[in-house]
Amino acid sequence: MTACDLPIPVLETERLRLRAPKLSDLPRLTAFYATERSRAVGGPRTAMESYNSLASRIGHWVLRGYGLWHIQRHGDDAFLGWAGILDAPGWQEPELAWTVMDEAEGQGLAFEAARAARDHSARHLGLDGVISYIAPSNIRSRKLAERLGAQYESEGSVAGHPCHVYRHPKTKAR
Amino acid sequence: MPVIPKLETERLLLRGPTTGDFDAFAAFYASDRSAFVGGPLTAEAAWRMLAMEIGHWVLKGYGRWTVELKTTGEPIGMIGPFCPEGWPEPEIGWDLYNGFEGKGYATEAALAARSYAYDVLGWQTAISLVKPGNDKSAAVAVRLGAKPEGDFVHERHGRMRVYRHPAPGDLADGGIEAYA
Repeated sequence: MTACDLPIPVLETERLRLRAPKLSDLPRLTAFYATERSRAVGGPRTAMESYNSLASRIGHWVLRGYGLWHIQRHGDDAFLGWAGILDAPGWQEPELAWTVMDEAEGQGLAFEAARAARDHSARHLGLDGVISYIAPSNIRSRKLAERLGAQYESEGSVAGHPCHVYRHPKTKAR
Repeated sequence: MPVIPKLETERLLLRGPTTGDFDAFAAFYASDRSAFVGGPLTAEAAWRMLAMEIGHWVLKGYGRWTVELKTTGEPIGMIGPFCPEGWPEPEIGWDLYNGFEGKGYATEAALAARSYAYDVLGWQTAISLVKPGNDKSAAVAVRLGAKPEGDFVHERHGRMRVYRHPAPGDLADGGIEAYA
């Protein structure tokens, strides 16, 4: 069985390719989860936990029919972050999530990826007007949510962490 | 969708895990019995683990099946070749959900899984890891002909006893057809 058998479409944007998580992403994923920066998205995690996270991202697609895409630039295999839809016990509803690594920050890549993931999910998955959970300390992520047109809706919590719930506009409203 | 093979034994169907298995999986991992296999887990952690089991199939080409009772279609456990990160080598793993112990189901499914590992995956050897005090699981290992050969300490699961299964050549009727 290979990733080709997975129900994971490839999305293309101007600069980015959103594709299935794969084993060769593991070193960068592990390095990311070793940093404090990962705290806003469930880290820090050990190497073992990073592997399990990679495996569970793939399984999420199989269980739900949607999940996280890993992001790379066109023509460059290096994994720069992720965007996509998460839903697990404890989530109030499916969530648009995104993260970019240090070296990809400040270039609008998270915005580009999150918008592509959101558009695909609205058009093809029936997931329109989704939420995003934003850690209160994650100012960059909050700004990105606002740039995407999402609005603060309520206080919430996910995976035991308090967070802000932002609501994205429906496709027709954009 | 990933194509996970199905195996059949006299009483059991071994098939790929699905979303519909989650309640039974999470109930087991919420119970004290799961302390022998890394639990108890919150519902969220159990969800991640079920997803991980499927990702394991994709990343490694094998993994644990949901074991279903043929008569009722109920999921009764997760059994199969398994080598999550940090394992010393690939094992035949078994979790039997609450209420389904003592009927020989783990042995029946693990035999089929071991035959699959030897005959289809080409494994030349296999272990099973058993936490100290998990006497029922140790009894399954012994029933399968496995012998204890020392301990292994895992980052999250702690100390586990390593049971070594008979090699493919040591099994008289080791073919998968013997259990199909």
